[in-house]
Amino acid sequence: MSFLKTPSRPLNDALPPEILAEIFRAVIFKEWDLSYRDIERLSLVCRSWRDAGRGMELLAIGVSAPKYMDALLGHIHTTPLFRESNRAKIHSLSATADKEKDFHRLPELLTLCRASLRRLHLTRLSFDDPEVELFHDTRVEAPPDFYLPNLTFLHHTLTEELTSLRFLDLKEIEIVGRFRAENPILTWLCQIAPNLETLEFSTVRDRLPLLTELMGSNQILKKFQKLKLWIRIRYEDLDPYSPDLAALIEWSRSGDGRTGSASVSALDLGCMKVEREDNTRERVVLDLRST
Amino acid sequence: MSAAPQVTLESSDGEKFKVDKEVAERSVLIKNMIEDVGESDNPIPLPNVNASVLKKVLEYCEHHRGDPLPAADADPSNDDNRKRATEISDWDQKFIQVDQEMLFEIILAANYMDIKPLLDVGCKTVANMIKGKTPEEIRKLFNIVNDFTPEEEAQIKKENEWAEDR
Repeated sequence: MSFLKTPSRPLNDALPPEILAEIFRAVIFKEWDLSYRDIERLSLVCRSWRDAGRGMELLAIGVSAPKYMDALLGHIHTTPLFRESNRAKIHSLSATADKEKDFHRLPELLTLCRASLRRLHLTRLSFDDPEVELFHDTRVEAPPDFYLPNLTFLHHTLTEELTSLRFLDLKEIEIVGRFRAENPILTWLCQIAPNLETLEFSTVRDRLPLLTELMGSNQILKKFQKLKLWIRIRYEDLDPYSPDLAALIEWSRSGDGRTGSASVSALDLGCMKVEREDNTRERVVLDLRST
Repeated sequence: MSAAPQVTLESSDGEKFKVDKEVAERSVLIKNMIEDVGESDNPIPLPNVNASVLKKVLEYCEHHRGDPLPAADADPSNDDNRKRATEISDWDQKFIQVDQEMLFEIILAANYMDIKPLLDVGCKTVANMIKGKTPEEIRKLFNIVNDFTPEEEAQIKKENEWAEDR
């Protein structure tokens, strides 16, 4: 029986470095929580593990503090790709900040992985604090010709910080948190992401009138012929008969947002479906293509 | 109705296994060999895989014979691929419940025979054993000697102090 056997060969003798690197990738590859810290922890085991971790290309990675960003950039500098061509091969990058200084090296990282990056999550933790102005004086600035040619998904808490960037092939944007009336989101989106197909807002019910106003005040249908709008609201806020939600539904049905019945059930609408995502959220989908 | 075409595989210790060609071709190595050599009654030698491991690998291939083959250029940032990258099916979990030596042998065989999904299952299983453990616990689990010099270890700990900050 297996437990009576003599101890196995040391893992390092049994498995070659390239398989060790595969195992490391499986360790750090967690859904929506891609942690660089794990790979650093593994390098403490022994020399061969340290060597296997060094130079490993990290395709999907999450950073949540300046020290992690510094460590990640330090790691990137050890990879063969960086040494050959001053580039990094990151496909999915998630950066979470609770202080504006957290992202001060983000432009450097974006520049290194600009050709490979497909999904970008930029999130701040303290977006309920009205005093915090993310990137207040450390905006994500980039050269005028800078853009991310292969980015297809952007998740962001605010929008105006990225005005110097261009996302020509961006198909999907998810905006989380507060948005303000003076923030010309849709106009801005038209400029930076002309090929946008999916726009997702995570919001709360008391923001719905503002969202309706935003949607109705712009040329969104003309600009985005293929756009699909997703509105994610908290489950406890989801009321298909809510006047706020109904107003948005009216707008989406009519195309100009000024006709329709305010009392219609959201669930009865052909252009809309409600999908349970988990115990706390539902996703309301308004497909503008069917209006 | 004619019987499904079969091929014979020979392990490193000389044992022969007759299996459906469709099952054997879950291995890209064998698929390529069959394409290169053509139909033949000669056994296909697998000098890096012993009989007990090959039997296990073929059990996996038999169970997954109808599965779609993974795309060579699967995008890891894609949501579906991401999901696949983090999940091990119930059957695969039971299949891979073996002692460490056999687990390593299966991983090596999957790598040699180029059976990517099996390699993934093996690597994810080892990864799950590693997750949440300290370096010392990992050394103990896998019988690894800490070969850092005291100076190196002190330096690495200093460099990685933040990594323990969770």
